[in-house]
Amino acid sequence: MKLSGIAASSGIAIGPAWVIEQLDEAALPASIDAAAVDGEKKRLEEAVAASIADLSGLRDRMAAEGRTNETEIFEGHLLLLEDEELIGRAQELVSNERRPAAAAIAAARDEIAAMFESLDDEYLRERAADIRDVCGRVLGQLTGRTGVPSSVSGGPVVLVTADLTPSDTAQLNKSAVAGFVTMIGGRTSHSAIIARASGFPAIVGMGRELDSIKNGQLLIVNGSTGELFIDPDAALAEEYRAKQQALEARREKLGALLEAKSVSADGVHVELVANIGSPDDAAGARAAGAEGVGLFRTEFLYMGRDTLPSEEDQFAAYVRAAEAFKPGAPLVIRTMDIGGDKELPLLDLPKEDNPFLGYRAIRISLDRHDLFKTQLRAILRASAHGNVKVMFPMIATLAEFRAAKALLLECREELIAEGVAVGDNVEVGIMIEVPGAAMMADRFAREVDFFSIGTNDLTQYTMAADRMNEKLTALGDPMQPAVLRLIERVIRAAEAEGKWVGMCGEMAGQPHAVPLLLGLGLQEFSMSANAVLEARALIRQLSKQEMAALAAEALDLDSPQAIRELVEARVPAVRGL
Amino acid sequence: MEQTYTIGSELGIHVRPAKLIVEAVKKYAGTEVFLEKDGKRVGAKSLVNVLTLGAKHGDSVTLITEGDQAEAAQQEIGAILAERSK
Repeated sequence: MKLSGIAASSGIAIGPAWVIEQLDEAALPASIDAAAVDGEKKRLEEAVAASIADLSGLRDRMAAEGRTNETEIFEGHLLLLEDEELIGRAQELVSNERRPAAAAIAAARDEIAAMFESLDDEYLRERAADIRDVCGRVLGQLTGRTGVPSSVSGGPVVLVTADLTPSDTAQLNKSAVAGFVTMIGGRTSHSAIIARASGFPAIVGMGRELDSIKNGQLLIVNGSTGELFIDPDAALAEEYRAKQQALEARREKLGALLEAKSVSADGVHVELVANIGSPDDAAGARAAGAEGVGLFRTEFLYMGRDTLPSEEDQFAAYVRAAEAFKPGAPLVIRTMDIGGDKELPLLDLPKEDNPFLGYRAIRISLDRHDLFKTQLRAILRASAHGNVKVMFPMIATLAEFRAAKALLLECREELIAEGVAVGDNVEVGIMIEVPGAAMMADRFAREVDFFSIGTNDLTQYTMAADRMNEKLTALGDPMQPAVLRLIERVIRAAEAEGKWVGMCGEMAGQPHAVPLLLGLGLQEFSMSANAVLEARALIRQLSKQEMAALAAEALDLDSPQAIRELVEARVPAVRGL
Repeated sequence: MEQTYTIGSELGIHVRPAKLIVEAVKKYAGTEVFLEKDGKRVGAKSLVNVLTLGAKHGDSVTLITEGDQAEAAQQEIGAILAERSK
């Protein structure tokens, strides 16, 4: 049988199912006999003590591995297990209301979590998850449900669960767990991010269909496609074992390049950085070899919530992303790009017939100074804590850029007048997505500090091919010569003014495109973090000078096919990638 | 004794400073420590209490210490409240 879900973390995992049972809290008895109260109090105490012992061990292990983030999380959890408001409240519920221990801890959890959720600070609201996590641990002790295994006989298992909490994910260890599948969550949920950061193949958001899986059934997780096979036949299992081995071999080889420089065979340095959508992605990006962030898609901070993110919320998110990397690592923050395919019900924008050609990104920001200035202030404040750069999306005219930059300078002066720290020399750049901006690149280059080419939109606008329309995939190919010519034009314009050019579209990580982009003189390649090592391996084999000659030839060809064939002929390494 | 401090941390009293406060309070066994903001007073030996005070950068928070080591506790915890780092 085959099920499918959201591909959250690439790779293949094969192993027997390990189903983490969910506790049916509604089935817990509402009250107990007076005679049983002392016994339940003792059980609660013992469960808390056992949880403290587990967490202390976990904290020590994280500290020994130098994982300061997790260490701090578990130190906080340990304090919660001694907290009179939380554990004391549960004890009170057992003594005074004769609740069984499990129901008491669940009720205390809900009360305290609700207190956190009523706060107006986003970061503190999210601490409700820590309360649930730590109480879940005590509940697990009381009810004996199976958690994440620390060791297994007969090879690593595939976890099948509703979702994984932060303390579940911290316990994942490769000798016991091959990968996991969850019922809820999306690509940016905690469990998905951790899976990518620590290299566990995973599928999330699979829904209730997972209920049918029994402990011990053989599972194959294809985290790259989101496919889950249950009880596969021998031939299929063999096919996937072979695929898994090939992937492993490749990954091991690439792992050697984690700390290597991104430098071509003839000594030209480039920057390989990551596209991220939340500060939580940053640590995983660094672990995957990224040297910084070339595109922080800030609109995700605005989505999936009831209120707009405050200056404080954004400031904290930007600083967190900057601090995930080495000091001085670049963090390019793109101001929000709402509109197009990304809706924001909070702004109550009217429906449009052509949203990609409509009211989006900088076009909204320049009308909504309240919104825009909040974001610019947060970015400027974060610039005191790292190598932060500002980037405006969807710029079509010089007037737009000048207006956006004027607002940025206005925010800067206000902050300085308020005595708030801001960074010096914050670079200001634009995305090149609109063909009009690409045509005017020489004029823009006099005023901006950098360009970042957004090839997904630049391609759809240049070729007039909706990128959501499956019938138009061949037209919407960034290897179309027309798109390559625009890219070359932009790079030459920047070179003439001594400015740098990056790329943050999918193209920047595509093996066939990398040789051409290197040859054209692209200096920064920003991509999904998991493509970084492959790109680094490729660039280290290439001579920039030879690639410049290759690019010149490619620009003379008529079709994406001809260009791909030329690249394959000159750079055989890209075949099959 | 009591004294009012302006929260120095850019992120307000988040988990890191809150943890430092709770750990400090535990060292002064014979001393009662409370925090007060906007008329809401909480015991400072509970992480839940310190966090749900919801104190932000620039907020005024009053620290109340009572007992044999009131002064030492006032100094140590006051410094955490006022500290300008994150």
